Parts: sequence; structure tokens; C-alpha cells
Amino acid sequence: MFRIIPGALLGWGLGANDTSNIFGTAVSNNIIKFTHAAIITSVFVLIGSYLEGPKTFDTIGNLFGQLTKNDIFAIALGAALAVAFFTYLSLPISTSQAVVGSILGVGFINGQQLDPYRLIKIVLCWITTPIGAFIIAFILYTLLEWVFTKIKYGITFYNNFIKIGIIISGIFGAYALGANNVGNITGIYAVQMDMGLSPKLWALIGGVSITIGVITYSKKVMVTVGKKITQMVPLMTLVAVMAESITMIIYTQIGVPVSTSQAIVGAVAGVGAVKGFSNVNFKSLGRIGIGWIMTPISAGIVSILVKVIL
Amino acid sequence: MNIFSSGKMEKEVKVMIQNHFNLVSDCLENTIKMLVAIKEKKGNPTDSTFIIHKKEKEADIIRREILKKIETGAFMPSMRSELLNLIERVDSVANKCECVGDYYSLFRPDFSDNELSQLIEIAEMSKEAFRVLHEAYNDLFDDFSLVIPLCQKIEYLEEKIDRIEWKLQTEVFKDKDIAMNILKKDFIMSLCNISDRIEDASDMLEVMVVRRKI
Repeated sequence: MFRIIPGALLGWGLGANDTSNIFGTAVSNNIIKFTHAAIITSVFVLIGSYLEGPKTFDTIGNLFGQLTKNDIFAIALGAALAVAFFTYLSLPISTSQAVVGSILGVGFINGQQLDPYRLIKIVLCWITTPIGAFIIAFILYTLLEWVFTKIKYGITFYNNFIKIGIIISGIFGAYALGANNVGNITGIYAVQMDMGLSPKLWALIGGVSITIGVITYSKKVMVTVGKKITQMVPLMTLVAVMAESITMIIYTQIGVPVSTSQAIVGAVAGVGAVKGFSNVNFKSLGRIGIGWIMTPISAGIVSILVKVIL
Repeated sequence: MNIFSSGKMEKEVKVMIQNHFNLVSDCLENTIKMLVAIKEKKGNPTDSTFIIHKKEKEADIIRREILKKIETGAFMPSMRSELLNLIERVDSVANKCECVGDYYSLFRPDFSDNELSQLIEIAEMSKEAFRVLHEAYNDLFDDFSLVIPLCQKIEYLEEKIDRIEWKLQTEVFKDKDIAMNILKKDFIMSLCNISDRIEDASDMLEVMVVRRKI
């Protein structure tokens, strides 16, 4: 049972960090209270995890053949430590990349046969996540801009549109987070460990660990992240979160867990690009590239070390 | 209830701001009345000054009530500081009217008929600029696209006032009575400062619109 602890830690970290991408700006700008944001996020993370979470289990859980209980423990612990380390460095960390890196590390040290099709699919999804979010955000914002030029509106309409829009996009974002990312938390346990639990129940356990992260630690991260991007107009934030969520849902249907942090960076760049490419923060996009390489490598190394120690 | 309309508290604040605008407008109206009374030598100009004092005091009370109401949760937080800033700027117009009235009551600068006509013209244009500001404020809630052109109209009126001020100051200093010239100069500057403050308020409206421009 203790082998689930690193998985739960990973879920807690995901809840604490990644929900800041959903309600960070709204909470730090007092558009919505943290308590309300945390309740909405928790409920819809659980719903998303339960309804669609198992769709990504197969990709993560069957990257290699059969793994032992110690292997699974090493994978989860390696990923959790890598996530903690990259969060400390303020890099847009991807739990998905950390988990895959850990699986690869343990799989290689075991000398097991890798499923290359699954790995190529995963890597392609990583690369296309920020690109997809960029395109979706660009189209969404352009459409919205067009609609707003056609209607007569004042500040009351604008404010209420933002308020309602932020709540709707937040709900969608939380659902997408649960649906797509819970595979990182309990996917490997569900596929590899025979504990008599259904995939949906594993997804729910993963969802619960994410919500604990949301309730216990996400406020601090939300405020920090929110303040960092306050130069963004609320409408841009709303569109960015919506684009990120749509991206996550698309990848859930493909069956690959991807990074919310990298999706949001791509979406923010897409919204900025509507006003001209000079508004795109290429430095942030560059940091994603570093994350693609560094996260799986470091998670792989940590998982190998844990495996060797065990 | 239409989800895109204002809440109860916001509606109350909007009514209070309308009242505040009306009181400041009354201050401007009485500044004109004061100048007309001086020119036509009919009635006591200080009667208008008293009314300005009364209206300014009432405007101050409403401003404080608006502040309290906004701080208790009306409007989105990001809009609260902008609205308070706008109200402060509008209120400063009433303060300046009060200054102009007090200055005349205390120092009685001796303007010629021609100079007084130009001062009335300045006061009337300031009143017109304030009317446009009020219209722009209403459009802020109804139609964003109308606000900026109205702010530009205020800017145009302010420039016109500046030109009259320049001409008037030059004329005033042709006189040899330096002490009286200085009194007149300060009065003219004070009167023209009213339109500067109206322009400051319109700048705030422009900022509010630009920040939300899509």
C-alpha cells in the first residue's frame, strides 16, 4: 500500500501547481474567491477524472511490458521528485513528461522491450500540445474579437461576460485537468498493479489526490502565478484557459496525458499573437523546449537511482 | 434577471454617481451665473458662491457614500479603483469652482467688460466640456465605442479654452497696475484649471475603455 504514496504525492503536486493555470489570474485579481475556485476545481477535477480519466491509462501503463511493484514505486517516486525539483526552479514542469521519463529509466535498466509506437505517439503529442493550444487560442480570440466588433456593449456587459466566462472556462479547465492528467497519477497503478480496483476507481483515487493538492496548497501558487501574468487583460486569460482546456480534452480522446503548463504557455502566446507576433514571449516557449528534454531525463535518472537503491 | 445587467448595489452606485455629476454641473452653472452677475452688475455675485459651496459640500457627501458602497463590494475589484479615481477627478471640478468663487469674493479682481465676456465664454465652454464628460460616462455603461470620440471632443474644447486664456492673459498684462494684473492672472488661471480637471477625468474614462478594448 505504501507504494501508492509517491503517486499520491505526484497528484498532490499536480493539484497544487497546475490548478494555478485555471484560476490563478481570477483569484489574484479577486474576480473569484479562492474558496469558490477551489470548490469548483475540486468537483470538476473529480468528475473529469472519473468520466474520462481511464482513457489515458493504457498509453502510460503499457509503455513497457510487465513491471514489478518496486518498479512502479521507483517510477512514481522518480517522477514526484523531478516535479518537485523543476517546480522549485520555476520551470513549466510537465507531470506527464516526468512520469514517462521515469518509466523509460526503469524500463531501460530492466532491459525491457519498449513499445516504440506508444513512445512516438507520446512525444508527438508533447510537441504538438503548445502548438495546438497556440492555434486554438489564436482562432478563439480572433473569433471573439470579431463578435465584439459586431455588438454594442458597455462596461457592465463586459465585466459580467468576463466573470461568467472565467467560471465556465475554469469549470472546463478543471474537468480537462482531471480527465487528461489523472493518468499520470494512477495510470501505471491501474494497468500494472492487480489490486482488484476498476480503472474508474483508480481514476477517482487519482482525482482525490489532485483535489487534496488544490485545497491544501494551490492558493499560494495561484496568487504567485496570477500576479506574474496580471499584465494580461482578463479576456485574454479567459480565452487562454479555454484554449488550454480544449487542447487537453482533444489529447484525452487521443489517450495521451499532456502538460497543462505547456498548453497554457502555448495558448497565452496564441492570444498574444492576435495583436502581433511581437507580443509573443518566445523565451517562455523556449523554456518549454528545455522542459521536453530536461524533465524526462532528470525523472529517468531519479527513478533509476531509486530502483538501484531498492 | 438578465445576467449581463448590473446588480442591485451597482445600480445604486450608478444612481449616486449620476447625482454627483449633477451636483458638480450645478457648481459650474453657478460659476457662470457669478460671472454674468459681475458683468451685468445685477444681483450679488456672492449669492452664486454660496450655492457653489452648498453644492460642493453635497457632492462631497455623495462621493464619500459612493466610496463606502464601492468598498463593500460593488463592481469588479479591477474596476473599483478606476471608478474611485474617476469620481475623485470629477469631484475636483467642483472643488475648483469653489476656489474660483472664493477667489472672487475675497480679492474682487476688476475685469473689463470685454475680459468678463471672455471669462464667461471660458466658463460656458467648461460647462459644455463637463456635459460631454457626463455623456461619455453614461456611454461607458452602454456603448464603449462612443466614449473615445467624446473624450476627443473634451480635448478639443480644452484646447480652445487654452487659446482664449493665452489671449486674455496677454491682454490683461497690457495694463500698468501690476498688483491688479497678478490678481486677474491668478483668477483666469483658476477658472481655466476647471477644464483641465474635466480633461483629467475624461483621460480616466479613456483608460477604462482602452484597458477593455478587444
